[in-house]
Amino acid sequence: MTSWWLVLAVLLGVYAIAVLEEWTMTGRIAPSAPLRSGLALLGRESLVPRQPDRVLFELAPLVLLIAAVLSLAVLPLAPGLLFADLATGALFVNAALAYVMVAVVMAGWAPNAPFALVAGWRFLGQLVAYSMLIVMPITAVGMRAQSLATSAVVDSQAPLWNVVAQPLGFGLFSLAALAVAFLPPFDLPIAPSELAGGVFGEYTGARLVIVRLGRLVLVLSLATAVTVFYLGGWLGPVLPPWAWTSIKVLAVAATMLSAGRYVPRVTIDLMLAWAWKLGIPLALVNILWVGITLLLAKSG
Amino acid sequence: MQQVVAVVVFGLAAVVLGAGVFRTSSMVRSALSLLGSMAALGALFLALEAEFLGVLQLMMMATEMAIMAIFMVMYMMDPGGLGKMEMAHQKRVAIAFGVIAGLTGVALAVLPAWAPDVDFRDSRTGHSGGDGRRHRCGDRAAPTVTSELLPISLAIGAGLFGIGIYGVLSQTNLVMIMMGIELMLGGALVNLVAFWRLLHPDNYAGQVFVLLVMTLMALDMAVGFGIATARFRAKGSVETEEAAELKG
Repeated sequence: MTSWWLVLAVLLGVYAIAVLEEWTMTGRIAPSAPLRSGLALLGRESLVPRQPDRVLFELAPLVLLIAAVLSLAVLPLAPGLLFADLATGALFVNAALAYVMVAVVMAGWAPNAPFALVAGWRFLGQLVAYSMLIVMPITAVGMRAQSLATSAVVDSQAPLWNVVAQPLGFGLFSLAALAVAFLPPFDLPIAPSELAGGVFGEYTGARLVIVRLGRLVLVLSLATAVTVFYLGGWLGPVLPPWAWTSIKVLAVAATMLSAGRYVPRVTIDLMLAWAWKLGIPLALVNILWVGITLLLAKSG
Repeated sequence: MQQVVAVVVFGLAAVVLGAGVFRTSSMVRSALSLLGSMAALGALFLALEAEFLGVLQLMMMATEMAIMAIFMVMYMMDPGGLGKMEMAHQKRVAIAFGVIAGLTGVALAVLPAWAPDVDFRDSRTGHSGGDGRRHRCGDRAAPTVTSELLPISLAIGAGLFGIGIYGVLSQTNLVMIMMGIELMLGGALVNLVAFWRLLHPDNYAGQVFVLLVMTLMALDMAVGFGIATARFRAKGSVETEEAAELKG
């Protein structure tokens, strides 16, 4: 019974994020636009490039979708309302997000197209840049919660949300989340103007629907991760827990979708330089900061 | 029972995908087949209730194998596999050693009486039991252990090890040899996790060795690719058959 509510919540969330994305791009709220464009895509011709790696070409959108769904599976909508309550939930989110990269690399290699290939390998470089910035803030969040289970992480924020207790981690995690979902300004793999659509530029028809769906679920999953890890999940005064989670997730998703559009695309060399020379030291400082505050709180 | 089925399914997937590494001529497919094999191992760890290790294995291997893919595309002559080049040498020797190693391992897995005679549940009811081990309060509830799980897991590890040895001995390219080494280490990991799960499941310190081996896998890849890069820059290829001379 609970799983059906969860599936419904995920579908509604994905649809809401699709509408939000349309709104950030065009400024209009068009509630039926995702449905119409999805149906239109299904009706269009499905082209396959010449001499692709056929297995990988078919697998890549599916791996993207499955990875995004798996990373969403351990994040709670309300106390006890999640697909899988793993004791290593926070780490599992990261493990599932790693397969997003696998999917993008597959999609870059498979169509036998130069722009896709370049975009795919650039995303691997992007992963080298953002992966530490995803894991280290999660470590700090787990330190505070004394557990990696996502429900425990939310419960540990009852006195004070992590966005206030670990602001550095929040900033780094949010930026890294933008990079995982390859949203602007970190949209190197799909670079609309630079690389002619990048990794997913050769996908059409039904496969493109799966790609778009996978990307939407990924954005939903990352917005939920930011909410659960830093914004207190379901904690809030008046409304029921699932309402608070939904409001926070949609707000974070709207911010994620719109924030990068005012900044030019970050090139791969700048991304790597900033991530490794500034981002990782800051992440370590964040862990140090959390450790010090936890020890002070325990003794004081 | 479900646990045995899960272990068998994931173990077979790991072995088949591991064999697929050396059967395909496309380099990216080879790397992704190795990723599939390692991910199946991660799922096998989850089936053996080593939750942290399973999630860690899944996460690390995704990144490592993608990096392996890009290095293969960089350093191999025909990454797309469309030219159907022969990339192996001394095949019969390699097959012989692989089969001998695999069969020895399977024999070592299946023949001895690994499983303890005492049912696990009896020795963990709060009494110190016949072996006198101390148990902390609040241990997990005693798991139902099937005594054939250990031979099955050890046989899977032996199979992976045999395939790895075939790979190391038959491949001419340094990157492919490294993939064989990864498979061998994966087989060792399965053995470690199986022994932990079935002999000391209450003591999580047994997983530290597994973490050590995982770290070693990553480190050996890093050093190996460093050597490959240096060699490639000096000579333009990382084929072992061209590296037979000390000169240059």
